[in-house]
Amino acid sequence: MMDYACNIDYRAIGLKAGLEIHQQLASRTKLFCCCPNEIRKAEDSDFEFFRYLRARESEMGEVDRAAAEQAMTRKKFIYKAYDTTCLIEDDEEPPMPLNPEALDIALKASVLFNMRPADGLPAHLLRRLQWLYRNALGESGHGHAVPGGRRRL
Amino acid sequence: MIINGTEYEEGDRVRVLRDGVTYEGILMPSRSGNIVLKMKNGYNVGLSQEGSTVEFIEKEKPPSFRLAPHVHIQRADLPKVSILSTGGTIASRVDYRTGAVSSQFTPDDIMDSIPELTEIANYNGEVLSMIFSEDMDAAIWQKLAQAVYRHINEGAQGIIITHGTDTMQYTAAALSFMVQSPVPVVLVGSQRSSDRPSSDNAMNAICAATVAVSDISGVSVVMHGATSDDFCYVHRGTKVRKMHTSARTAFQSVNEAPIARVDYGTRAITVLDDYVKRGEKDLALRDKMEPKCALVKFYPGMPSDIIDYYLGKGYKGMVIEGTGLGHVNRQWIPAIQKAIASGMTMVMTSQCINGRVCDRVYSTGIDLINAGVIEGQDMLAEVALVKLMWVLGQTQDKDEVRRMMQTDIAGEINWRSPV
Repeated sequence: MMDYACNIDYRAIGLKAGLEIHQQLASRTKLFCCCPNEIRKAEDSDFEFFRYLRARESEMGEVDRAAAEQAMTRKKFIYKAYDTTCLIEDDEEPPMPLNPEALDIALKASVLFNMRPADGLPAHLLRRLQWLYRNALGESGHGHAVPGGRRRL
Repeated sequence: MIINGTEYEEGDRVRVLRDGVTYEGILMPSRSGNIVLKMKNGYNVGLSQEGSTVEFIEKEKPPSFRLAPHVHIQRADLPKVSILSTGGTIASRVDYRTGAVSSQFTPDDIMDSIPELTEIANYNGEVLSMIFSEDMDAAIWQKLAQAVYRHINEGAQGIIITHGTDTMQYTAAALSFMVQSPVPVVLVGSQRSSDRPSSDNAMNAICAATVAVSDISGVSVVMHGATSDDFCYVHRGTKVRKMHTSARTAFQSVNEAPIARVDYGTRAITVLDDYVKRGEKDLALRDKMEPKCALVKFYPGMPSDIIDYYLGKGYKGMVIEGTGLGHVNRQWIPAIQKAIASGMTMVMTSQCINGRVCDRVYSTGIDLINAGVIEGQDMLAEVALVKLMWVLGQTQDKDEVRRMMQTDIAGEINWRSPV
């Protein structure tokens, strides 16, 4: 495997590699609600509830194959709620507008990384249907803040 | 949309050059005037038209993977149920071409997205309207009542009505009075949009179908009983009220227990209150309504000229949502006397929502009764309004109107207030 990998001329095949960094922003409240931005321990949970998620069409009218397969297994998803979560995280209330403090932090970071902010922020959010276990909506909101840019560290 | 003088269609794959950066993606609907692209990485980006150069790549391609349509096989051993669609969240999806949430599901679409329904019954579908429930009116209730009557007459053993949740309680009350049904007539909707994986639409619809083939006849509302996907409650059509703007548990029975609960996992029905059994009543349609009735909520300091306004507009009935036991400012009494003398029927309900009106305790109440106001007992104000429309559609006789308003016709009045 190693030898095989070493014999490839990556430049010739046009390989591109990227790094995806997930960083929680130190905003006072969460991205789509006014709950404090704290990571909690499971034992602090004071309430739990369960849902069965179903495969749905995405924004583009497509269904994720993995989601469709998962839905057939009829998995029961148990969610833990805390005194730092609210109806929005439980998917019992529509999300609030994007947290301006979080946007401000993202834009400041983008300036530090020598990036160029996209126009039209913060209006264009992506609804990403997902089969992750981390929130009750079965989907998450993502914003693409800035393209390009580089910074020598 | 037109970008810098050239026409592009939503769904077109385009390349946008802006400030030396190239963006490639599918053109999405835009409300801001910006060019909105869905890029290959899934993110959306908004770009100002100014300073952007757009290059067309190709037309929209159909989605690469969709759920296969469910094959609807009729099973001889299953009962016949009609699904009447009126629109609403249970049958809506986000239309990304226009960016709007639209109600565009037919009963077949509902079965495609909730195939479990076909294990419960064979369905016959009819799309009656495709509206948001706030756009309902008495004329549409009549059309709906006529359709319910027709489907039962043609052999439907149960009816499911998909309905937006905002005014579901009004339609449930209207059908309760207009249609005397020997079979279940179940209204169902969803609080959380049906295009998301966590929507409550599937569980509500499956529980509704379970009730539609049960022996709980008459009009009911079947919706989530808890925040978990655990069970639904079956609420009497004249005793149910939307009590939360967005939560799954919004629908609650007021002044009585729900009729039953339906377990989502086992589909077992547990009866919690009295109900009219399948076949106990004969099918009848009494669909006349007097839409010129008003519902007025009293607040401290509210002038009584609202009554003169409705009287001047030719209104035949008014339900007042009074304070506490059923009161309004004493200065309203002359206006109320005048309205009743002019032929308007006035019914008192309470903005407390829970409990019974009693105008025989305080002097204001006694004055209201002496003026001819009818006590709405433990009726919900919205139900009293719909009932008043219906009663005035059945008779013009003042004594008969009073008698009917104070008679329990469809479970709307309980003469006992259980603890």
